Amino acid sequence: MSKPNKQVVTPQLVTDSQTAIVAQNLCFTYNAKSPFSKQALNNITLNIKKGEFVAVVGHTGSGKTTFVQHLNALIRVQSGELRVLEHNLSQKKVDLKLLRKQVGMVFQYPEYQLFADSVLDDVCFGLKNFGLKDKAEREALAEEAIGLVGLDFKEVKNKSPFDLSGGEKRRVALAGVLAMKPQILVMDEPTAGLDPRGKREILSLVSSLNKEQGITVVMVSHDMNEVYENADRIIVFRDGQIAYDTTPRDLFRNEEDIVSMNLEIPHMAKFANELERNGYIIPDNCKTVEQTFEAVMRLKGGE
Amino acid sequence: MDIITLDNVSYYYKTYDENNDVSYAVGVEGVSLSIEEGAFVALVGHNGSGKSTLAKLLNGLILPKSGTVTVAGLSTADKKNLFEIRKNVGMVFQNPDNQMVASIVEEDVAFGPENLGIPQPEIVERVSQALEQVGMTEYAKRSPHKLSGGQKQRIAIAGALAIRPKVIVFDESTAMLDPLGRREVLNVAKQLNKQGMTVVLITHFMEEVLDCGKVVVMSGGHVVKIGSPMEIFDDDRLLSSVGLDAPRSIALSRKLKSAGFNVTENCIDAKVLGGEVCQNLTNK
Repeated sequence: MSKPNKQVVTPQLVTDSQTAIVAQNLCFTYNAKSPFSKQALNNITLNIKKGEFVAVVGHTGSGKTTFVQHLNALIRVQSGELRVLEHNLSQKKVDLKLLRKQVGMVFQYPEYQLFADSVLDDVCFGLKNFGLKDKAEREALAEEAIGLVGLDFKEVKNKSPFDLSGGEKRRVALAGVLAMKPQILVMDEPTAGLDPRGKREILSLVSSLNKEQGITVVMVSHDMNEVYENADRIIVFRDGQIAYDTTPRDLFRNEEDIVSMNLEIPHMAKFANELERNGYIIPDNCKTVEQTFEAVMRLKGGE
Repeated sequence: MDIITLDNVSYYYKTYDENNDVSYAVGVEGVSLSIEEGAFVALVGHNGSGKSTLAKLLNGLILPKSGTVTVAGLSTADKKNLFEIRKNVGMVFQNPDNQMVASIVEEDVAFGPENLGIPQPEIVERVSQALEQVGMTEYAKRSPHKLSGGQKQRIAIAGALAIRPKVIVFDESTAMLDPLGRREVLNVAKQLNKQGMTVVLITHFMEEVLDCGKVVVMSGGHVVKIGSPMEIFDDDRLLSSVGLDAPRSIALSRKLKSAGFNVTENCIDAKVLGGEVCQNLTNK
């Protein structure tokens, strides 16, 4: 096959209404024309449908953060094609305001970005910036978002965000993004630094946003146990390329290769793999401790 | 011999409400604890349980409102002792980017001994030894900013080591690292302990406490349990009440054991556990 002419949009890139993100041969090099140039993305091609819960994993420096920063045009496309919803990010002209409203970006340690005097002001900040002039309308959206993240609006709205606990601060930061009613939520390690309870709270919140509100979730994470249990699909980045793009259960069947990328095998995957090697099958959808235990009990009870 | 002793220590944080009225929030309350020389002790608890407050009490960064903290026989309450105490207790904090003070790795590590007024030839020796202990010798002339998180933390550890402390406190030093970085830091902690260093490891990752001699569980500013890692994992009710999780493999092995499976209780290796379960299934 000959290389497609750069001026021509490749035909297979036509997206339908079910597609959230589609990338084709996406490449990115930092410090391009300098001695320090480093290729961060090398021919990334993928397709994410609306409503999916996708985890993006990979060792530090594998390119995963560079990729997700493309999704709301924080990094502009250098070469290759990228469509996000109705936007063609490969073109110069992009409706950034609309795009960034539709694609909510939650950075690492988002609570460091809280700044306002009250929780309400902080959550309203984005709405104001995006040009929503009606104060009552802003506050109504903020109230809804604060409720979504599981905080009591009346109780917290006038509090300083800095008086909240770590987990609560993170939820306020998340509410600031959710108030914009994004269709796609991109999160960079949303549970990093939280204790186990805080992690569970954030993950169940993200899961319910995905399942109940239909928000497409792209989550970068280093915690293989949590991606294994929560994502529908895992994309593994290695040296700027996609090494795997598959279901959690299938991914972790490749134990040796995963370990060679300095990633960990989730406990329950390791357990299921060992049973499989001995001819006992734990169903692919049994991924938590509880589900695995029940599957073993069914095996014991006699098929 | 105990290197650190806490006797009925309490610390409260001052907080102000909307009307600027002062109230006090518990940091830690009524904590008594002793840490033996050469021990590897983990302090675990949820966010806000008081474990970082406790860490800061250990080298006099904060002073108890009541009770006493004694380090190598010296009370932190006496200002004259603080210099000596801080030489004995090194700290490594959470954020690797906040602990770098120089633009060259070896200068960063030399910062502590320089401040202590150590003669130059000895500083050179201490720096090279500290870098060797954390396996970062080849990075001596590099800029710390280009290093990975785990490497930065190892430089921070070397900086603490250059002061030649008797104790190193890791205050959630692995929380912001990726799995590889976390392993790097933990391995250094274990190695130092093998060489005789007293290590206090503060964390909420329960997998990190497996190799510790003693685990101190904190909740609401109180010590709620002290025991070996396995004794802590044995207490499911306590763990869930303080918001901590046993590693998943251990949680599964405990469930299977109580359901009548012949498996290792508290099995940390899921592969071993899987093998044991297969034998049970085959022999049923």
